[in-house]
Amino acid sequence: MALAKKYYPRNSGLTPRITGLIRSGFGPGAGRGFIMAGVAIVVVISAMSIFAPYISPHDPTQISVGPANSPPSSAFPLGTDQYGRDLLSRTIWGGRFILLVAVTAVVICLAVGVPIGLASAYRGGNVDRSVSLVMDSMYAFPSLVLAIVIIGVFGVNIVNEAIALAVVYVPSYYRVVRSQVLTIKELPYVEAARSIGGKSGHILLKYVLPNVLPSIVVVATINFADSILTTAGLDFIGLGLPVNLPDWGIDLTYGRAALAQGAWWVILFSGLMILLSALGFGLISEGLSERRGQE
Amino acid sequence: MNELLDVKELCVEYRTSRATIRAVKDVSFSLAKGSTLGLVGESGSGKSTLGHAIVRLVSPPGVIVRGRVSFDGIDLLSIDEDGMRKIRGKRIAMVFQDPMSSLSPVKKVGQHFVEYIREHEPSTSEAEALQRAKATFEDLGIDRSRVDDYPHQFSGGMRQRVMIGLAIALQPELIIADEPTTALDVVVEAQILELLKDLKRKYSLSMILITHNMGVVAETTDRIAVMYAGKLMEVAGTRKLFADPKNPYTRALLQSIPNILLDDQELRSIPGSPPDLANPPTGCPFHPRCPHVFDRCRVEEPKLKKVDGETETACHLFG
Amino acid sequence: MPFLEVVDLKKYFPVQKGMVEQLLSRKLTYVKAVDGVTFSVDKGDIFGLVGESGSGKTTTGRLTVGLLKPTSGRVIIGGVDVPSLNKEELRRFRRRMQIIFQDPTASLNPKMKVGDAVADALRLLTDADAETAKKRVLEMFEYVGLTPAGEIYSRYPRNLSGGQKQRVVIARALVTRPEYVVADEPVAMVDVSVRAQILDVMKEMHERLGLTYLFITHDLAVAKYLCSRIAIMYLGRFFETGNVEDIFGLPLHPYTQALLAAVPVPDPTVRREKKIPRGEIPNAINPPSGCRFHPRCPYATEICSREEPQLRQVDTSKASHLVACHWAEKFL
Repeated sequence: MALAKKYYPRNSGLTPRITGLIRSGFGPGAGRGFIMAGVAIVVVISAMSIFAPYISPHDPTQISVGPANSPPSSAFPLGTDQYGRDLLSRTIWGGRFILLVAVTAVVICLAVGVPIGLASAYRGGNVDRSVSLVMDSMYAFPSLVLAIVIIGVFGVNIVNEAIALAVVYVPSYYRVVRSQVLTIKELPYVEAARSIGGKSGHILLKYVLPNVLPSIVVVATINFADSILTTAGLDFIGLGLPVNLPDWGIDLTYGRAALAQGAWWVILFSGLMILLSALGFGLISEGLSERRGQE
Repeated sequence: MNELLDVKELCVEYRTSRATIRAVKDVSFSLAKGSTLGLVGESGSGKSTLGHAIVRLVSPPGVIVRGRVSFDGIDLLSIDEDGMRKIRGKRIAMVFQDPMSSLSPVKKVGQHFVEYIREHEPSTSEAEALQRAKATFEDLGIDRSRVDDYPHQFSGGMRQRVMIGLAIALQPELIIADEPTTALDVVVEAQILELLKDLKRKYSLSMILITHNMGVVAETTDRIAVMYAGKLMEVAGTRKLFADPKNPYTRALLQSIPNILLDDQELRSIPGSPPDLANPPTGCPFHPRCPHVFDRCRVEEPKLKKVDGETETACHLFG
Repeated sequence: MPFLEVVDLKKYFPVQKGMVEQLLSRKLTYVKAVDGVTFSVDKGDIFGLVGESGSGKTTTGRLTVGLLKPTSGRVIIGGVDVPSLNKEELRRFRRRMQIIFQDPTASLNPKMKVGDAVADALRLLTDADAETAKKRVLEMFEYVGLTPAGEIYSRYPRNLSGGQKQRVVIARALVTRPEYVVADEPVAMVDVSVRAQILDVMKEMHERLGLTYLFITHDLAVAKYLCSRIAIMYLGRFFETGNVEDIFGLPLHPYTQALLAAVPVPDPTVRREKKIPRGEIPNAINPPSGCRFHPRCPYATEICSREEPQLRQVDTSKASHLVACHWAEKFL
């Protein structure tokens, strides 16, 4: 034990960082329940989507695996749709593209929205005012409409879907980052950083960004939830993925038709999964907000 | 019994999911009618919590765990909220540190007075209440016409005067002033302290003055209670406390404060810092910093007891 | 030999007005935070800038370290005209001049280890590499009494007491071995029982490093304890300057006298004649005509409302004791 202590210095390195992070998320305090519930949901759904090829009992695109429109049974726990496709397999596979698009969109937003927000707010003046004007106009647009327009113009595929979402959501990131930076840059420790010779870039990176990070995480998680819903919505109206791929949004379309034929289970499970995954991220976001409110 | 206020073994705790903080530990003291008691302490000493607890203004997660607060024979901790409300304002008034947060910005200052007076004395007409407000303003040294102004139109010192005015409007017997001049400039502070002295004389008020400033208590109080980490360390008459402080904390504190009237002063700093109340030291809370510490101090908490005439102190040096 | 020279320094802040007001009025109004102050500080001296809120003392301090640009006037440190330096020159000059802030919690980056925060000053202003910087920081921590230095290095501000945080702030200001340090109310937000410690640290470092301090405070008792010379500031101007012994021994300006009388003294046996001026400090947008103190001064006469008195020597035996008052002679 003593030997381990010698080679594993407690005060530096990755381990205390990770423990610290875990404790800040799961430690006792406000919002803990939300965070834990949310993370549990997200982890399960992500695992399900990642390992879909290994756990899915049937090929989700294979038609006539079973009788068409058969209700949930022991052979097909979630039933089949009007083409005889196994719904369990479709549900397991159905989150993949939605999550992929959402992750891509969030990553693009972070890469674009955060730096612009940092630089613009820190600089201030007319630059900041102009950029804000542009961002606010974009923000004013209803997200789904804007996404539809972009996809409509540039074509229906996964890449464009992600880009469309990123365009729609970047203003949210920008606004959150900007409002934080405007406050932080007036704080004494930023003035202190200037007084010890810090240049703008260094100050932004070492003094401003680390303190903006918590709100970025909050907006990213809530944005993830939003992206999931919007992607599903786009897929639902056929502006997302090619129709033959397994996807919860697309299944909503199939589900509507199946509902008319009396098969309620098709639309139910896909709708449920969409809500659940959005909820997972929403809970994390809410939990984190409560946690920060507590501090 | 000349005691207007008698506090016995009062305990207040803050209960959060992380820790239970004992903000006020078994505090007992009394206040004679017509006198001014200075409640002195640093941050975390519990002085402000104590002031609030006396009028039952402790809000969650704070909880008054036990004790007795006897005001003119009434146990304030056992009467119901209605009864307490009748006492608060009418017989015991509080003046807080930050006057801005206690005044509604959308109401004229005169309105504050009128509503306040009429809530406690409903039979008073609006006109009567307004007259009384104007009369109070005169006492405070504020122009009578300013009853029609809004709080933001007053400067910091004036606002504090208004707060004091509200406090005396119903002619209470006891005023608890919680750091009333801490946020004010030196000259305005002197004005306010003079005002308090005048009002005290004029209306025969009793007062508890809560502050961290030893200079203020030296000039305005008759008796001083020194608090540290929620515990009463020493209670003595003002002159006695400064001339012959018994408790090591009091002594160390007095030796570390610069005095403007002394030349070539030798300041003696106290090592360490006030304790974290979530993780207080065992035994006497001051022991980690005390120059006279011995074994007993580390394990057993000293009890407040009379050591010399009127001085009470909590220290093992005194058996 | 004056190390710091300030000549007729002025700082006016334009007042933010609402849109309608801006359209309707033609001239800009200014808050005249600093309205023409002149003084010099010898190398190794501790000069106190004393005043209440709105006096302009904090702004003056910041002007001398280049955190603000003067509206007019000169600031010369060690022969260098500071406001005329360009951005990069000014940045590099910061190695020689530093500031200790008032609020120990707010002036430390909550996401940075305190050791790293102090090392940052070295990395930014000197060519010390990471290892050297760390060593110098640990050494400075020992000087200011932050021990065990190695353990405190990796702590975050939230795990330090107020007194410890303020020591970190001092360490950060002194680690580049500056020559000139502005201390902006360094003990105002520190617990009473800890103040003497911090003052001790500042005194010790002053001797050890041969620093020149500009000590900004509203607390006259602290000023008397620490400073050799002080200036009494009011609404952007100096009312009185001189040696601490002279000013405290025989204050010649009615405002100084009022300040000294108003300060509560921790000694109940002393009964002082308190001639407290009425009213409060007016705002700095429209200071009173003539002498700024005249509306509150018990000795004010007609000339006081007309003509603003300049700092002048009143006592022939004390060349450094200057007063800005028409009636100063009557107090000799």
